[in-house]
Amino acid sequence: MHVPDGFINPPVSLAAGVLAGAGVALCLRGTRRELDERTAPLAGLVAAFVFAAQMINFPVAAGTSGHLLGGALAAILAGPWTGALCVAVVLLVQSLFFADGGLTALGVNITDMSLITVLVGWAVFKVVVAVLPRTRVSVVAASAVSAFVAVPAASLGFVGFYALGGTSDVPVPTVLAAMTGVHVLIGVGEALITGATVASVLAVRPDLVHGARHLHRRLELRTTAGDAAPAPVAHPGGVRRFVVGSLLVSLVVAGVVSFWASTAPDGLNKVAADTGVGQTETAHAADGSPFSGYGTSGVADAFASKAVAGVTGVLVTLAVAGGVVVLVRRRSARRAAATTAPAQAGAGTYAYSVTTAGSTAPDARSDGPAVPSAADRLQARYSTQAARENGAADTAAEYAAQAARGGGGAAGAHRLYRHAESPVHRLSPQSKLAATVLFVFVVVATPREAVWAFAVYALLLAGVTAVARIPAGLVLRRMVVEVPFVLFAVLMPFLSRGEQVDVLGVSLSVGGLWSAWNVLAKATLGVVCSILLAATTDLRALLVGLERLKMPSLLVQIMSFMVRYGDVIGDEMHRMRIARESRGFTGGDLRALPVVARSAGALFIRSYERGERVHLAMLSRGYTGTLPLQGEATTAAQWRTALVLPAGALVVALTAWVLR
Amino acid sequence: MTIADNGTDTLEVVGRQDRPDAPPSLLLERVAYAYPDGHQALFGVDLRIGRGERVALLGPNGAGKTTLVMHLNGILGGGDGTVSVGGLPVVKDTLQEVRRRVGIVFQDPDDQLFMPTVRDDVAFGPANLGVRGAELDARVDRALAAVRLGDLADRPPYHLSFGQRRRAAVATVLAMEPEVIVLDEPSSNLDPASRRELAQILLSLDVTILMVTHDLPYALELCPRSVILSDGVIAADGPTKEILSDPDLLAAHRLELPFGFDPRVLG
Ligand SMILES: Nc1ncnc2c1ncn2[C@@H]1O[C@H](COP(=O)(O)OP(=O)(O)O)[C@@H](O)[C@H]1O
Ligand SMILES: [Mg+2]
Repeated sequence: MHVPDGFINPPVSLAAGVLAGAGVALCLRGTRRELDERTAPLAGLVAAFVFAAQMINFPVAAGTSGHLLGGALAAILAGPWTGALCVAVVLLVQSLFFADGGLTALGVNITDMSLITVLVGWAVFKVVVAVLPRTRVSVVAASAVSAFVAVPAASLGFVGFYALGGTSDVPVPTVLAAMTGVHVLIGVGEALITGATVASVLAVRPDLVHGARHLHRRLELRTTAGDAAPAPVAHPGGVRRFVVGSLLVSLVVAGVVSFWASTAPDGLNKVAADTGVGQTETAHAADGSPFSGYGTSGVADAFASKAVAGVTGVLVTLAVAGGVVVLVRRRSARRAAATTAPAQAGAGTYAYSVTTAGSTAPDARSDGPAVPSAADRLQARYSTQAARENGAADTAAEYAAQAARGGGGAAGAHRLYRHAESPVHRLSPQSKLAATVLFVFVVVATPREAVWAFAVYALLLAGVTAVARIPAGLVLRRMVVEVPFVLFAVLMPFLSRGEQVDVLGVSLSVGGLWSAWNVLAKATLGVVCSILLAATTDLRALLVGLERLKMPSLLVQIMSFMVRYGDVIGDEMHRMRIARESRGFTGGDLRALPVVARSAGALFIRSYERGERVHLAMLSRGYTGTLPLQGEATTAAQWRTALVLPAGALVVALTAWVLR
Repeated sequence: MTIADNGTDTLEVVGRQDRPDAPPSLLLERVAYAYPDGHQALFGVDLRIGRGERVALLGPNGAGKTTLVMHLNGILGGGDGTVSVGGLPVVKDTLQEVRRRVGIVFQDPDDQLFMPTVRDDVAFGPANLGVRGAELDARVDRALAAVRLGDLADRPPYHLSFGQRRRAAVATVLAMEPEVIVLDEPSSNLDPASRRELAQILLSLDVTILMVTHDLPYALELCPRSVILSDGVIAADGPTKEILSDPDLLAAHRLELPFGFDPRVLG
């Protein structure tokens, strides 16, 4: 669901960026309540885990596969504020370093896949947990349900953005039907993996499940002197307040969601016809202004009335649900009197099993070069190397799945970073970051009819590639990450309505053709730009650059933990795969899902415990949250050099606008 | 059963005399701790270690040794009791200074070494303390020289042998110039030559040492005083030779001397 550049028009992208920024800022504040010195790496681990889990593609239906979104899981493990930050960090890293999801679409992507999944997931989780009895099974059930709901909710968020600012003419109902259909199915996989992960973490390290804090018992210490002391256990406070708050939140969300969900496709069609969206479409095809096509006041009215209806409906539903909650609570309170003792004993006695001994065999790393580093394997998702070596697989998604299963063999033979001595490599990371972001924004804001302008952009990037001594073949191979959108773009001329044109006897929509061109050109330029950034700047330097560009240090910290834990998780994944396959597991179809789901939980715990020890060692050496990364300040000359690219692009874009 | 106590009589064995009024390097009083999952590992530990002492902390697996070690620089805490380092209580505000004074060498060097090169790794600690530039380089070189790894400085840690990695881990701690070095099972997984090299390095250092181990001959070789931790409490405290000469005491705490090893016939 990673939206590329050029798919949503600039105003809506910007608005989404503001929304996402505000959301992230809010989370940064909220996180202070959830994180401390010891739990900060948990956030990094959750991020790395979500990152890794997003590579595990599972089959949905014939021909399609989905990947975990991880928002609900992150919220349940790390808490909602931290969870949202984790997923946001994952998306940022993906779009900056892996060209997965456009830079200008980052706001849309963060809003959909981080804010909405976490908000909806956490709200559903709290409600279900409040309704069910206070046991671990309930927490697991609530996790699964919340994950199941969060995924289609995110797809609805996407459809919302598309309706407001989609640059293609594919009718909203078509997109809605396709997106929700697929994502309900993905939701099933998400529910399974989330439930299984939470269940296995709960069984071994319940202290790592934020969403299960209400299960903690207050502990007593027996000292030898025989006196008692309170145990150092974080105690949950204000659960009730939280439930009320999240009910309110879910009301709002449900109101919006129900608008989309309850509107049958033909209903939306009607709205479109009534309000003239259909009529503007033809004009739209010729009118390439990025600022056109979203002034649909009629839709706004309809939206308002629909939403009012939706909220009313939801209020009624909630009243009923609330009544049920009260009833259940009263009943269970009465029943509790009879069953308190055994239930509490069950919830309170957690078995701690030391799983670390096996996973830290002292020679685990001694075969360093032979085992492809985790970073390599993570990057395998984005490499064609994997594709070439797995001739059998025929979609990018399958390559990803194979890479995740390690099926690529030497899949990760190359890293994203390509060392060379070049002026581009020598530029400071912060100036390169700034240049990349500015360039992509200029590209996206260029009118799509100015075909020549895109040719000039491509030439500019080709120039950078040459100066940076990056082989063109490498850039081309890494562009495989685009494949899903190419497929989508190819469909556009068939799905769009409006003026038609006959091409070789097939009737295609003119608007659709333009949309396809628009998305393809802009997304491709964005992808190439990210590829160049990652190829000329190593991850560590990028972190320094982000820090120097004043990104909040907590985000940089989560990100650097994520990079570190990426290796840990990769190593563990590798070992677990060997263990699994040496016992005859092959995987690859739906029956593999339970195994993947169970592995996910084990993977999380093993990685966490290793990461925890690394973190403790870091703390012991005075680590305070900022890596002593030694970045240099950027000289004015460096800034000038770096900004040549976006400045050149800006001249082109302005010319294109003037010539229209 | 407690054999001897406060350890003042072992000071001269080490041959380093401090002002008698100097606060002890480590002072633990009634330290108790339960992990967040409810498992209680420490039940009130009292321990006092003077400046310049070298003490072995003995005990069977699961006795709480690692848990205790984590209390010495405030990584774990919040249970009962107090810890102070050179007179400085370990509380939230003093953590940074405490972590400068107490260097911990963890059981698994792979947990401790995480930077791209040995040099970066050794520089990590002092850099966190704000040391930069030439002074940082000098510290790193000194620490690497002390563990005889100077020529491997620019290699990635995971390309070193296990013994070299353990020494690199010691260097990462030395670079912080601590007053107390705590080693968690330093001789585990080392071949005899690496074990001896490490012992020579440790004996050459002029710091307080607390060494967690169940390698009893190693304890006897390096530490004049030993403490037995068992089931989360101190079960014995006295001269290493006396403790190792008490078969009943050792058996009661699941400690075993290697076959044929008799501490009484040694020096
Ligand atoms: N993170 C943890 N959570 C819960 N229990 C733990 C944890 N770490 C250790 N323990 C338990 O605490 C006890 C003491 O452990 P530890 O201090 O590692 O022992 P030692 O180092 O002496 O072998 C053991 O029973 C162990 O299972
Ligand atoms: Mg231990």
